[in-house]
Amino acid sequence: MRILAIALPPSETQQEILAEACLRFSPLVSLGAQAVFVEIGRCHLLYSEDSIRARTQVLLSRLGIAGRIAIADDLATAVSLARTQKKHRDQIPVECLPTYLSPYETTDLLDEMIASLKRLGIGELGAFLALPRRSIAARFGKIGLFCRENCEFPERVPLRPFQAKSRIEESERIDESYALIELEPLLFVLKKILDRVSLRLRGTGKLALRMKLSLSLTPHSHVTEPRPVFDFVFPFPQGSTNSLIPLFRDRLDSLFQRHPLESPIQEIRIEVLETVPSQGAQKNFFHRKEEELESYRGIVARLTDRLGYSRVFHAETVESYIPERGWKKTLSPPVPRPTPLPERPTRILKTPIPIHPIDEYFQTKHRRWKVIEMQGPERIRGEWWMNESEERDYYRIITDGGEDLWIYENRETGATYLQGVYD
Amino acid sequence: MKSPLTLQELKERFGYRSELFEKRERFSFSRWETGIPKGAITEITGPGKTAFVADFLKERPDERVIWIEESFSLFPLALEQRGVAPEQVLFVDIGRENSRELEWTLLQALRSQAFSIAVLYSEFEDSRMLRRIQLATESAHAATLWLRSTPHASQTSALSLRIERDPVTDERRPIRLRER
Repeated sequence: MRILAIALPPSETQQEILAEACLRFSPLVSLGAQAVFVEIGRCHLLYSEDSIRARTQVLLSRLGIAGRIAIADDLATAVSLARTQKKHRDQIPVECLPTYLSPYETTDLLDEMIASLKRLGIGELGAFLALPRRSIAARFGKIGLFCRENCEFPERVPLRPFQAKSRIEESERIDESYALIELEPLLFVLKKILDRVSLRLRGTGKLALRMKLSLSLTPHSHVTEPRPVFDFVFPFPQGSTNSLIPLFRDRLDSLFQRHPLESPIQEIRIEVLETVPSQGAQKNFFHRKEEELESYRGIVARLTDRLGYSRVFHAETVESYIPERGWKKTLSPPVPRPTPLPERPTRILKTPIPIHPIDEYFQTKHRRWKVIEMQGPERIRGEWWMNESEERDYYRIITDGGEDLWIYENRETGATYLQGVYD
Repeated sequence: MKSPLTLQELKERFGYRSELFEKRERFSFSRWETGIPKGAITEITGPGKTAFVADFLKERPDERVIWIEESFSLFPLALEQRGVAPEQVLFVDIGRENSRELEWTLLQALRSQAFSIAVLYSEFEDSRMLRRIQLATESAHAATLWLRSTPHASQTSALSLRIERDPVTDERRPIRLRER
């Protein structure tokens, strides 16, 4: 067992968030008394102790937590070394003995024993361990003896696995004197919250598909909506602050332009409502495909959020005899399907325009074309099983102006329509 | 009083390298021997322009493309028939009622650096908007292909082509209107 311990200051409240974020390093994480433990003994192929130390330091600074780090063979020694910043186990002060009694909770059971030891001039763990067991039992009773046993064999204390919360929710209270009402300062705070959310998502191996942003406004009398809520549904799962911030910026910018906030914000809350498992692959240093895919997904999410889902799409071929139904919109990568149909025009009209053949001309209300070549027909029959019996004869005509048109004649009515252009 | 420097002397003094300004990187293309310039707008007009772009995309299967139309009339099946991979192209149908979103969409797509080729089918005339698109294209090092029915009056595009039908071979071929 090799334990990385992060000792936290007594005022720290983000212990669980840190534990969740640490799940990215190892599946075995545990919560202690103002401490987080990460079992790294079986991860030596993934990272060295120096690199995990550096990565944990980065994680702490991203979360804004002033933690201290140490690595040892057991929980109590690791957290004691982290708290005291001593180099060796023997130098750990006797004030840390309660940690050896239990690294998971604080206790005052050893207060008297520690005071007695100090009176005797025994200030460090090395000196305490040098005392004969019999004298400890005589002076401090069973609790002293139990502590001595734990100090001698600290690896006997098992690791209690930490279970991440299923719901990811982060919030930040805003100081009233700050008067946060504009978009840019809001984004500044949002970035901090999204940083925490993305660390927790990454730690738990998830990506967000849907998020909810709730704002609590100062309840002034003129405020009509004191708790505006914004729902964010992403076309592709998102997991990084860099891709999330532009989405929040675009949406809030257009919303605030139409409906500015009525009073300063008191609290910002983000909830992750829907998640999918992430692949959790390591970064590839030899190509930029992951970054490219991330920026592609980011821009697709922004475009769909602004323009609507029906306006941003890939095109997938659909089996249909009716030309205008020959494709459908999709956001997932379409499957290429070889089509046996003759070459289709590059432009197609949503509604075919009636045209009238007069001698060697075709004309609509507004235009006239002189036909110099005509190819066809290609007969297309409606989908009879859908009660569509329309029969069309398609022709490709080349005009004197160099245009290449696709027209059809309805065989029942004899009417002719312009449906496409070989542009 | 010192005599003023000639332009040539000034260039020598500051280590001017003409190739930095004159040689633009290009996507090679069999139908246009000098290729399609990167970091610049290429304007394509005339009947056959969409097929010309389809042929270009067919030769660049690894490039990610955004295809923006103000009023979507493209028949995507025809692109696939001409050899363009469907997963390569992301289409955006701006819609006539949202035409002011056209510039935002194109600029954001270029700035994201997720696309190396942008195809725009629009008849807009605003020269300042065109300049902004040109700058974004340049900084994204992408190729913007601008399809129009008639050439734009301004000289912003690096290359302006018109597709014409060859009277002898009866094939559609590009004609250079201007290039810089």
